[in-house]
Order: sequence, then structure tokens, then C-alpha cells
Amino acid sequence: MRKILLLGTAALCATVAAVCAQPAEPPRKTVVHDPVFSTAQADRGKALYAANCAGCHLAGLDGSANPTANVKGLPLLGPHFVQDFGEAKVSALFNRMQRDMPKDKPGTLSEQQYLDIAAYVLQQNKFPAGPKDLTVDTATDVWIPGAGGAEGLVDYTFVSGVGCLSQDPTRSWMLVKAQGLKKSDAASPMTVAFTDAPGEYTFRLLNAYNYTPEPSNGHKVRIAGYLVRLGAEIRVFVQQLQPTGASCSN
Amino acid sequence: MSNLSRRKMIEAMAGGMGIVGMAGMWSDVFGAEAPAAGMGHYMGTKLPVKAKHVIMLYLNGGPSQIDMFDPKPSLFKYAGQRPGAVDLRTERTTGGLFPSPFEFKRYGRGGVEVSELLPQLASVIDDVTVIRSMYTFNPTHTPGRALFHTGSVLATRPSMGSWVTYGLGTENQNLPSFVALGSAPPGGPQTRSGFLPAEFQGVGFGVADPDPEKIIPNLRNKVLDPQSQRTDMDMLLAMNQQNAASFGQDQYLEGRIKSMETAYRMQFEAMDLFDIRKEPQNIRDEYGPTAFGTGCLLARRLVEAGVRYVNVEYPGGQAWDDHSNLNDNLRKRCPDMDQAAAALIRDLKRRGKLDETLVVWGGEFGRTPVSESGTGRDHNPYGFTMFVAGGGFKGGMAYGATDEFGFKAQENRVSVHDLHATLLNQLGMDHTQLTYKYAGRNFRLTDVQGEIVKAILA
Repeated sequence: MRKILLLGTAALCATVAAVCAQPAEPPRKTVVHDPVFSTAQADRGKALYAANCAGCHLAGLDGSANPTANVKGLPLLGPHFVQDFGEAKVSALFNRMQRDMPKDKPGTLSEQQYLDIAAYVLQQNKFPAGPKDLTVDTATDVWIPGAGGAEGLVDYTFVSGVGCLSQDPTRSWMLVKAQGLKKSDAASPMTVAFTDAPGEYTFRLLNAYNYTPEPSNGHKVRIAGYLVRLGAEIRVFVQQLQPTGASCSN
Repeated sequence: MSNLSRRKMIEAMAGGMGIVGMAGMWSDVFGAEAPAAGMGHYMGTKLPVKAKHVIMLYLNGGPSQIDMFDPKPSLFKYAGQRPGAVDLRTERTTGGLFPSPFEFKRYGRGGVEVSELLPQLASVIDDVTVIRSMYTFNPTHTPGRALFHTGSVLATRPSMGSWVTYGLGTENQNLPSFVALGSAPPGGPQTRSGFLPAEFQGVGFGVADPDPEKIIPNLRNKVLDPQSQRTDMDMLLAMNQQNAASFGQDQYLEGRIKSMETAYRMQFEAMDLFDIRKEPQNIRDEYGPTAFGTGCLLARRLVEAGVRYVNVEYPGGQAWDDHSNLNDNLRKRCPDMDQAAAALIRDLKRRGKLDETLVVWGGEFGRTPVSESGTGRDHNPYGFTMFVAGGGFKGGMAYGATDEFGFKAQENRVSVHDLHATLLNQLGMDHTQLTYKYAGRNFRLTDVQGEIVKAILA
């Protein structure tokens, strides 16, 4: 009897050990690329945005990075949106709106109305619509991604990149349609290989004005420098800027 | 009247005692406006007057020059390291070099580099002289603040506002000549008159709420009409004089008489003047709906009304003391400071007042190029940035330089005493001759130091 009991215990332990030893499937992080709002909801949000938000953030959501008398709201698009809300849950956007907005009468809209406006803001940032509405529950589960293009690279890594040189309305130099940044050797950064295909990323270029960028505006360039993040936005402190001669107009 | 100076007349009447209180009686008895100022005690060489007023924008805590006005590319090359050749030690334990993530661009005719945190100030940079090579010698807030405002780390010396108003007097008898604005009424070295007569102490007002009834509570006497108050004041004045005759001259009593008299007079002018809601909406919008915006707009109104020296403190105590979370904090804090400071410069210029007003911006020190706690910067008195606009400064230029990492002022170094001497020079006073005898010797704002920085003057 004791022998049977021992054998049974050993078998149970072996089974448990086998189960425990199997590598656990890492939980998949839901991001807003997985549709989390519907087109109908974003449409409702559009009307609400026009009535309650556009006075400060402007109709096109492009606001001002430094609020002024005429434009009192921050941009809700592109790099600024990524800076402020990238690598955070949608609930951060929703909570911020519910707590602080509209500026002159915060918290005065209904929960559903704030969700609808959040859906509209996500839609305007090119995130896809799906069959279901955004809810408070989904907002707390879903992440807004960062800018991308520098995964696995820590701040101050020396990197190379290729893309189109562009200047935004505030005269900031940007690398648009860029491929992902690659770690490189500071001594020979321009030898890193890139494909000819246009990329999907945008990087802000710091210190570019010291490298005579104007003639290359609208052209493909290679850049090298130090990676640095501000919020979830990815920036490169430029140390080299090399025109390739190719125009980006095509 | 015009042949007899106000001071001589009153001295003749009252032997110098209670002069300001008597001035109130004078105007009431003779039905005339109090004669315009004079009253300055500066007896030195009269220098060309380039400015009549000072507005000091004080960023308490030590704003980070590295992230606003002094870009340092080498910080990226050595990020996280402490190059052995440079001694980067400060009062706290710090880590490696910590590059700024903020974007700088060149602005104005001089191509002055300004960070993305300050786009509004960048837009007026042609009126701004950026001094990148400021330094002091004390890394701690309280003595550093005292040094910044009084020229000494000691907690007994008069503030620059007191020295300036002592030297030049006031242009408006109905208002304090030296005012300090903050979310709560500022005090300490920002307003201290020290050994100067108490009437030159700054008067602090809290501007968190722009309602003048909140800024100056109980200013209006709800019980007595002006004539009854005047009668009361005169009786009190007579009693104080009697007291002074018995016990001798007392500067604190004189200061109290002066402050009561000023408060009495303020009833008739200050409520209108302190009410920024009387400004057009577009002007209020330009400054922004914040306490600092209110302070800057009110400062403009005060100097226009003849107030000699206005200190505007950014709200929140040591708000700029970013030992951690520097990047996030600056992104939250800079916009309203930038907006209001730039609006002040723009507005003064539009109204033709910038030429005669010195707008000074800065804190008691700057911050280190190395990180503290990974996300902040420690105090750095060895090299930091201030700026001056208007009042005969050149503008559109950056003067001086810190070392490769932005730690120590290296080129064209400017001490706080040098800046004070230069500001006094623009106000028409030789800093070595603006003195006050106390405890047996003459004292100066600049002590035994201070060189005028001629290269930044137009």
C-alpha cells in the first residue's frame, strides 16, 4: 500500500512538473491597431469634437505645441499625440479628457460622449475602425503604440537611418517615410545597409540645422546620430547628414 | 511750489519726520496733486538714464539652462559618462552626463539658439540678451536666493528692489514704489529692505486670482468715507509725531506711517490699476489665464503707473527645482511661463515702454549637465543662463559661454554682482556710489565687487 502511494505521488509530481515546465504564452498586448472603436462612434465623436474641442485644438486637431492666445489647445495629431499618449493605455487619453476638458467646463460631458470623442481622436490618428464601440473597459485594456522604428534600441545609442528630409511648419527638420533606425558604428555610420523601399516611420531630427539641410529638403537622405526619446516620440540628435540625391516626390 | 523741493518743504515743516504722511496732508490741505517724485537718495554721479523701471521675472528653484538656452552637443557623445578630466561634482550625488532631448533652433538676427520649450520667447529674441555665462558661488536655495536678490548670502541685506527705489524714489505717491507679485505674496529676500529705511521694503501681493479685491483684501474701507479716514490718519500721524518727539527718530515708525499713508492713497488708484480685467480680452489672452500671466500683465500696468521695481515670481514655490522628472516637468511648466514672459516683452515694446524698462529673467542658479536620480538635474551655481530685455541692452545676442558640458561659466563670465552693477548703470546710477551707511560703514548692493558688462549694452 505504501509502495502504491509513493508511486502515485511520484507520478503526480512528474505530471505537475511537466505542466509547469512548459513555457507560458506571453499575454498579447492589445493595441489600437486592433480595432477598438467603430466608424459610427467616431462620427458621433466628430460632431462632439466640433462643438466642444475645436475651439482650442482647431478643427483639424493640429492645435499648437505652445498654446497661444489664438490657439489654446495642444496638437492631438502625429508626433505630439505620440509624445503625450504613446505607450500609454487609451484610458489615459479618456481620463485626461474627462478630468480636464473642455478647459472652461471640465467634466461636463457624459462618459459616453468622452468615449466618442476619444474614438474620433484615434480615428484621426489613422487607427482603424472596427465593429465595436470603445468602452471604458476596453479603454483600460488597449494600448496606444509609441512611434516605432527604434525597437530594442536604448536612448543615446548611435544609430543610422534613411528617409525623406522634410521641414514642418515650425521649421523642425523631420525624417519621414523612414525605415527603422539601426545601431551603427559612430566611426562609419554611413556603411549600414538599408533597402530602397520607403519606410513607415517619422523621426524628429535635432541639431540638423548645423548640417546645411535646406538643399536636401524633400529628398532622400541618410542620417546618423544619437537616439533620444521625448515621451514616446523618437528623435535623433544628428551627427551626420548625407544627401542621396534621390527626390521623394515620386 | 516749483521753486521749493518737496523734500525741503516738508523737512522745513516737520523736521523730516513723517514726511510722507505730511505729503498726504499737503495735497488735502492745498487741494493739489502730490508733486511728482524725485525723493531718490542716490547722491553719486548721474549717469545717462537708459531705463526707469525694472521687472524681475523670478523662476524660483533654478531653471535648467541646458534645456532652454544653452545647447550642448557633447552631452550626447558622453551620455551616461563622467569624463575624468572634468570635475562635475555638486552638493548631491549625481550620475552621468544627461543630454537634453529638446530641440533647439536658431532665431533672430543673431541666430540665438533657443529650445522648443520656449517658442514665444524665441519669437522676441531680437529684443533679448541671453547671458549664458552667469555664475554665483552658493548651491543652496535660501542663500542662493538671497544672493540673487540682494547681492549677499546673508539674510539681512536689502533686496535690489529696495536699493533701486531708495536710489531713485518713486514716480507715483499713490502706490508702493516696489511691488512683488506671486501666487502668494512673496517675501524674504525678494522684498526685504534690510538696513535701508523700512519704507523701501517691497510690498507683496498674491495674484492667484485676478480679482483685485482678492489681490488686495480689505483695501476699501467699507465703514469710513475718505474724509473721515483722512481725519483719522492725521490724528494718528500727530500722535506718532508726538511719540517720535519723545523717543527720537525711528525708521520703523516712519516706515509704518508711510505704509499706512500709501494704503490710504491706494484706495483711490489701486483697485482700477490692479484690475487686469479692464485690459482688452486679446491682451489678456496674449499673457494667458495663469497666475504668472496675471503677474506679468499687472507688472506692465504697474510700471506704466510709475512703480519703480516689480518682482514677478513664477508660482509654486521652488517650482523650477527639478531634481527628478525634469523633461515632463519642463513640458508642463514652460508653456505658460514662455507665453507670459514673451507677451510682456512684446506688449512693452508695442507701447513704447520697453526702451525704459529692464525685463530680467532668471533663477538663483541653473542645473547640472549630469543627471540626478536618472531623470533630473542638481543645482548648478557655476554656470547658468539669465536674460535681459529692453532698457538699453543690445538684444538679439547670446553673451558668454559655459564649458563643453554646460557646467561652468567659462567665456565672458558674469557674476550676479556684475549683472546688478550693469542694471544699476542702466538706471543711471554708479553701483559704487549707491551706498547706505549702516553699522559704521557704507554698504552697496554690489559689496566690493561688480563690473559693468559693457559688451551687452547698446
